Amino acid sequence: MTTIQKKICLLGDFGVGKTSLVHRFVEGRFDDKYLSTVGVKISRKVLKRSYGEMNLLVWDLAGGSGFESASNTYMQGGAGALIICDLTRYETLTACENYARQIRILNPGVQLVFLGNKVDMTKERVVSVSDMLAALSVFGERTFFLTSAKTGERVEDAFNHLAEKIEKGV
Amino acid sequence: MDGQAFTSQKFAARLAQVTSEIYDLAYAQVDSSLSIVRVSPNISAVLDNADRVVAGVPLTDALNEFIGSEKMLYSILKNEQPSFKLERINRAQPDGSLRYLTFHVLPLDPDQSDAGLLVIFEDVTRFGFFEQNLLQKRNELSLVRGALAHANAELDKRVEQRTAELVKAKQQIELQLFRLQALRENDHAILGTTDLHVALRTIAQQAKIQLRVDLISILLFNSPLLILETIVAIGTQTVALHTTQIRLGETLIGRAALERRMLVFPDLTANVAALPQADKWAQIENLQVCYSVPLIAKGNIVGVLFLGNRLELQPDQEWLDFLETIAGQAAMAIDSIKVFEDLQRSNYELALAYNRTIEGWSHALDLRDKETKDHTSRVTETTIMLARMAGMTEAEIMHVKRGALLHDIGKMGIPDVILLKDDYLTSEEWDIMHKHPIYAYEMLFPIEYLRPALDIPYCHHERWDGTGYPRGLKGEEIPLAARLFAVVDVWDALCSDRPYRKGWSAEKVLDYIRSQSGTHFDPQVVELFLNAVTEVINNFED
Ligand SMILES: Nc1nc2c(ncn2[C@@H]2O[C@H](COP(=O)(O)OP(=O)(O)O)[C@@H](O)[C@H]2O)c(=O)[nH]1
Ligand SMILES: [Mg+2]
Repeated sequence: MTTIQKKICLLGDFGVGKTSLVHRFVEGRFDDKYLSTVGVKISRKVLKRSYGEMNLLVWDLAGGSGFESASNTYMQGGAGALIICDLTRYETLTACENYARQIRILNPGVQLVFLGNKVDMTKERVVSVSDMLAALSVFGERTFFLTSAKTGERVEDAFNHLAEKIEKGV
Repeated sequence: MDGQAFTSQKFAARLAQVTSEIYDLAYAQVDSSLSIVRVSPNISAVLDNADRVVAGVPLTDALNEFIGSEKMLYSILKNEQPSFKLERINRAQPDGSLRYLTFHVLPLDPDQSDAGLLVIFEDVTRFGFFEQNLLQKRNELSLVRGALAHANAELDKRVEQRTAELVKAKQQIELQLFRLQALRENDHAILGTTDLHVALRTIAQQAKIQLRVDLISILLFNSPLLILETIVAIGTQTVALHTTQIRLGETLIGRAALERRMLVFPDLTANVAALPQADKWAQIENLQVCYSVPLIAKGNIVGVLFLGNRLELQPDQEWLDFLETIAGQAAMAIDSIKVFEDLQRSNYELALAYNRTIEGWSHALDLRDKETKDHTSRVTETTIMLARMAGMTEAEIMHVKRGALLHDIGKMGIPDVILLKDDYLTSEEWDIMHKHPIYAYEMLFPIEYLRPALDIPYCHHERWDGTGYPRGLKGEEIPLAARLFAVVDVWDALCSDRPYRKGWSAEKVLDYIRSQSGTHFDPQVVELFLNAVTEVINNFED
C-alpha cells in the first residue's frame, strides 16, 4: 500500500473560519466560540485513495490582516492551500488575492482551492458568486466552494478537491 | 576538587542541563539522513509524544511538523542556511489544554557540512497564552467594529430609503392637491359662466397642464347630424383636426362616442399606413399616443374628450382617475350649459311670440281707431327713451313698451258709433269714452304676463292734480310709466295733423306742455322731457 504525505495550508484573514473548517474536516465538529489562533496548529487527516492513502497534514495558520501575520516559514513546503474568505465580510475576499500570491511565490507548484465560508449565514451574506468569480479570475481559476464549517456543507468536497489537484499536479 | 578536574565537556553538559530546566528546553541530535541520534533526558517534559521521539526514528516520523520542510532541513545540514524556526506550534495535551512550542533547527557543526542537526524544542506556552489573549481582544474588537460599520451602513441605507419614500409621498400629495385645485377651478368655470366655450376652454387648459399632454380637444356631439364638432382644441399645430369631419362610430374619436368607452391608442406611429383617411389628421399632428374619452351626461353622449401626445406616455392610476374626473366635468358642463341655453332660447322665443302678438293687436287698434300713421310706434319709442332717462331697468322698460303699444286697448270696448263719430260727443258718450282705461284693466289683468304692463293702459289719462280719469289718482299715486306716457302722448297728438286742424309747431307744443306742468303733468317728468326734447326732435325728424 502506498502512502503519500502532503502538507496543505489554510490561508485567509482572521475569523473567516480556518480553524473551524479544520475542526469540521478532521474531527467532524463545530464550535460557535471564537478562539483566535496564535502560530500554527497542524492536524493530520488520512484520506483513502484508489492507490492507497494520502496523509494530509493540515496547517491551520494564524490569519493575516494586521495583527496576525502568516509567516513565510509556515507556508514553505506546502503542496496545496485552501484560500478562504468569509461571505459575510467583503474585505476578506479582497485579501484572498494576497495570500494566494504570497504562497505561489514561495511554492511555485502549489495547488489552490478557493472557499467562500459561512454560506449558512444567508441574511448577513454580502459576497456574491460573481464577486467570487471576479476575484478568482486573477488566478485563472473558475471553481470555488461555498462552504459552511457550521453545517459541514461542502467542507469535505473542498478538501478532497484540493487532494485531487495535488495528485494530478495541475 | 579544583577547577581543572571539572572538564569543559562536563561543564557543557551541566550548562545544558541547567539551561534546559530553567527555560523549558529539550533537544535532539539528528544525523545527516535526518534520523534521530539522541534526545535530551528531559524531552518528555516538553513534548507530549516523547515516546515517539527516540533514537533511530526519522525526524519527520517523530514530528510531523517537519513534513514538507525536508528541503529546508537539508539546506541547513549543508550549511547553506544558518537556521530554521517553527514558532508557536499549537499542541493539544492529553488533558485538552494547549501547549505552544517553538522548534529551532541548527547545524550541529557550523564549520562542517553533513555533521548533523541540533533540534531544540522550546516550550513558549506562557508567551503564547499572553499573545493569544491580546490577539483575541484585538480581533474581537476588529470584528465588532466591522459589524458596527456594517450596521451603520445598513441604517444609513434605510434612512435614505425612507427619506426618498417621504419625498415621493410629498410630491404625490402636492400633485393631488394641485389637481384638486384644477378641478375646483373647472367647477368655478362651469358654475361661473353660461358660455360653453369659456367653460370648456378652462377645462381643457387645466387638463393639458395636469395630464401633461401635447394636445387636448373637446368635441360636441351634434345628434341630428350624427357628427362630432370640435369646440375647443389646444396644442394643435395644424388645422387638420378642425377641417376633419368626424362621424359617430368612425375614427379614433367617433368610435369612443359610439362604443361609449375610453379608447386608448398607445402607438399610432407603429402602423401609420393602416390609419384610415379620417384619422390622418392625427398623423399630421405627429401624435403617437391618443386617448378618446366619451362624454356622457344623463346617459346621453354629449361629446368626446380627446388627448394626444407626441411622445410616449406612461400613465399611472392617478393620471387615469384624473382623466376620468375631467371628462365627467366636461360632460357636466356641456349638459348644464346646454340646458341653460335651451331654456334661454325657449324663453326668448316665447317673448318674441308675445311681442309679435302685442304688436299685432296694437296695429289692429291703430287701424280701427283711424289713429294717425305710426302714432303708436312713435309714442312707444319716445316713452321708452324717456323711461331709460328716468333710470328704469330693462325689465321694467319691456313692460313699458308693451303698455305703450297697448295704451288704447281699452277702446276695443267702445262702440264704433262713439269711437268713430265725426261729430262732437255728448256727455253720455264721453262717459262711455272715459271708460276705456277700465276696459283695458279688465282685459289685461287676467293675462299674467301683461299684468305688469297695465300702468300705461290703465293710468295714462290720470292727471297730476288729480282731475284725470278713471280713478282720479294724484301726484305720485300715478305710476311713473303712465306719467311719462301722458306727456309723450299729448306731445305727439299736438304735433300731428288732424282732420280738423294742422299740427302745432314744436315751439307751441313745448310751451303748452310747460304750461301744464304741475296741473296735467308731473313737473319732474316735464323737466326731463324738455331736457330730452332736442334729442326727441332729432330722433323724430330722422
Ligand atoms: N455560522 C458560521 N460560523 C462560522 C463558520 N465558520 C466559522 N464560524 C465562526 O466564525 C468565527 C471564527 O472562526 P475561526 O474558525 O476561529 O476563524 P479563523 O480565525 O479563520 O480560524 C467563530 O466564531 C466560528 O464559530 C461557518 O461556516 N458558519
Ligand atoms: Mg484560527
